[in-house]
Amino acid sequence: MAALLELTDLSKTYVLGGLFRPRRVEAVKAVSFRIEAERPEIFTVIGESGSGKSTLARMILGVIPPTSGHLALEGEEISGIKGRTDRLAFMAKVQPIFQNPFEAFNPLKTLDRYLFMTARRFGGAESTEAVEALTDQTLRRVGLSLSEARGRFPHELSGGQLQRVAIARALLSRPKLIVADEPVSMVDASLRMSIVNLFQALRDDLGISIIYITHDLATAYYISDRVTIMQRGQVVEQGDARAVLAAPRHPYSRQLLDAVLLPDAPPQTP
Amino acid sequence: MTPPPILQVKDLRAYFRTKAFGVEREVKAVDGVSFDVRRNEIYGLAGESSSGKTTLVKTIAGLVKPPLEIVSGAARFDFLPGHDTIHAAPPKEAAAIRWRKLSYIMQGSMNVLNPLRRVEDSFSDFARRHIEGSGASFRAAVVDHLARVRLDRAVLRNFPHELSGGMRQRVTIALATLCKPDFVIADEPTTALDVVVQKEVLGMIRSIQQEIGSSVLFVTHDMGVHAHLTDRLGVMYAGRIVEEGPTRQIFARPLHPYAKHLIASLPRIGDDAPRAGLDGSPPNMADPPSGCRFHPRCPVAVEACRSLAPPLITVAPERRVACHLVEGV
Repeated sequence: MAALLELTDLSKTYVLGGLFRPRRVEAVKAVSFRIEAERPEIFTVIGESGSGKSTLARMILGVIPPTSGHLALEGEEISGIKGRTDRLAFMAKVQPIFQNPFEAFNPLKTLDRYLFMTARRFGGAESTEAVEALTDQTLRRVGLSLSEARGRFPHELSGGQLQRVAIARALLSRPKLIVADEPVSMVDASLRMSIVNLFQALRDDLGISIIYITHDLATAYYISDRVTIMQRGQVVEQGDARAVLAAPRHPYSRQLLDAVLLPDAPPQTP
Repeated sequence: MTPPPILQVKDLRAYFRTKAFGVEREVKAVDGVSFDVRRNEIYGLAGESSSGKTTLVKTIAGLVKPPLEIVSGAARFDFLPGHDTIHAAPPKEAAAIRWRKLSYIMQGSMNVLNPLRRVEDSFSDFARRHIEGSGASFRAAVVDHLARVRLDRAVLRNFPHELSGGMRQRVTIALATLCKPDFVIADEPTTALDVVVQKEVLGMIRSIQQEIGSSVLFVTHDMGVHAHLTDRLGVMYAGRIVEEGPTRQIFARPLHPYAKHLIASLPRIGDDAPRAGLDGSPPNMADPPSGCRFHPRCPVAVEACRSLAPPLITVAPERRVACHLVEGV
């Protein structure tokens, strides 16, 4: 089977400090996994702050180059992408969704302008009608419509709605892979599950693979096909989500699982 | 017999009122909230963003500044008799109870600790004036108290940026509880922390609360934290409390449709049942829905919900619910 995304011993080392005594921080150490092209899945990266999960996401998005190892999308090395055309083609295939949708949108631009621009540049739509039709159709996929987004500024929408718009924006380019970095941690509890369910629908209906980055083990269990648990840049455990989260083997995974506050657990009695 | 509550909130209303270019706007952030906090308990306030929970605790703590105004109602502490709210008390009296009787733990510990001052200086800035005795005895008390949150005295010489997030939050907890206050308000104190550290910090809040016997008003949107820590729980929606009761009972059997949804939608490890999100969007607080504010999103709403706001009534011992469809249990 062909791989959609393949990481082989991927590492990122930051060098901090002066010329004479530089300090090396290994943000990501030898991470390997592959996502098959024929089998779209939700692949979850679990880790606490400082575990390197966001660095990993940024390497997959091609924002920062890896220090060593290989990172290939559909067999093509991401760091080898040069030139505007190739770059745009890559960006159409891999799309990000960020934690805070209010920071992902320009507060001074209306949402439709942003969406139309993306539809024109990445969605292949040219005429105004085609652009509007594509935008409306994509917004409907995420449970909104163009009439709700037209002429509105980001602050006029709730966090949950805006995150949906961010997902619609990512979908406009018909991506094969979405990298979602903590996409629901800023979203209200009553709307969180509908966004999480939306990710499942994207996988099942549109065949999009999703790299879901989170620190929340409960939602990870709920939506993931496979999980990888990272600690200080290293993968400590990786495998089928049900198997790993039901019976973690590594002490760190067990520690994380123990720290999950179960809603069913009775409060400590004084 | 239940002892008298330490805090009695009665029909409290606090609105944000702005007037710009002749246009008046009013956001009813806290709109008729009543509840009691008893001695020696942890009372949890749950709710989503913009449900008014932070405005509520700020109003209770007397941190009322324009455009926020207290419109009516009272938040009476038993250690401040004779005044309806801290805001209404003369500044001198209010200053006398702050930190000794009432302290506040905030979400971003980085915003509380002065980045340019060592931790020990923060301790003297905050608490020295409230503790009598010599400098040496003050320092001994601080070191003693730091041990309660399992911090070494060495942190006193550190600057805030030299400590990890969990250590900083433990420093602020130590700061807030140093004077053994009767009442502690904790507003999302663990939200910015990693899960492993969060559990540790929650355990510390509980053990300190038991040791000094204070009451805690604990605000967080995280239902898992409430289940783990609080004794009683009030669930807020759009500026009002919609359900209140012992935390265990609410989790075992929520009565209000919103509380039911909140608890049912929590994903649990080992449970593969699908969870639904709630339709509709959070209420716009500048123009809240009529009647029951939850009715546009409520799966069981009836005609009466549109026009009539349900009062928060006692439906069973210890349990209050604001819903037309919930009657005596």
